[in-house]
Amino acid sequence: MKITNQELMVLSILDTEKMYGYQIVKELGGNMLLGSLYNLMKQLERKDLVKSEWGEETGEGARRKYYSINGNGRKILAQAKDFYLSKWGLNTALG
Amino acid sequence: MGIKYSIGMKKEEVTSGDAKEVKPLTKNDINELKLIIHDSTGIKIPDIGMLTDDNILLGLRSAKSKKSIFSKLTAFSFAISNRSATPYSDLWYLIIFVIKSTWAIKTSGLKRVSFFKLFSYMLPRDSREEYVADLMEMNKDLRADGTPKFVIYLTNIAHFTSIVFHGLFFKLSGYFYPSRKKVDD
Repeated sequence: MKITNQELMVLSILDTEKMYGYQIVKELGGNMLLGSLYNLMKQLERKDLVKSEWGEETGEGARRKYYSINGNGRKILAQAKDFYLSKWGLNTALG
Repeated sequence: MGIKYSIGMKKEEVTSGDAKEVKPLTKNDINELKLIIHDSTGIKIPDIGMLTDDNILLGLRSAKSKKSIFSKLTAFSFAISNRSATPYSDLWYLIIFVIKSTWAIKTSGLKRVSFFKLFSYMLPRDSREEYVADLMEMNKDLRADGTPKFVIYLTNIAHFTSIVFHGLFFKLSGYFYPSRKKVDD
């Protein structure tokens, strides 16, 4: 399964708590358009790394959708962390 | 006396002082007008002075034949002016308003629908609700930060375009680029 750096960043953000779209954009420093984010989230859902659930209504025709990381996502994230740590030679340094 | 407007007369005819003596509408005139409005729109108006933009628009919207009230009121105004019963500000206001709203009604479906609702129909159905929620919160934050209005508009346009583009792209990527889909899977 291919996974991009952006997807990894989103997974690491979701590792702490479940979040909705705009919250994730804020966590990413506002450097992503909502369209790209939703597309990314759909891809993550398709890869079964993230699950989503509808939240409370916030106004007329508006409802939040919360995303959270699932078991597969956590596994991929841990693998990616290990990969990068070993690539940069930090796994031994960090113990 | 101030500037008076007469129905079916030129403005200067009234203001020059040569105009016929101004008479208020009689009770019969008012009742007739109420009847016309009631027949055309289905709303009951207890007092002619209570006519407001909203209740006329409401009435006009619910009218079966939208043109009929305009033609009836025009005919009524001419009938009044022939009897030299001029002017009556509420009536004049009403007629001006009817003329304006005849045009407005043609696009009323578009005018009264909120911005978010209208544009959300152009978005992919599955991201529509969350997009509206996120955009509303984003606008709230931008306004709270004192961001200039044009920046907010540009931001909205950018996000909206990106959603439409990505919505289409995501949905059609498998259709137009089946090989790409295979690689992803």
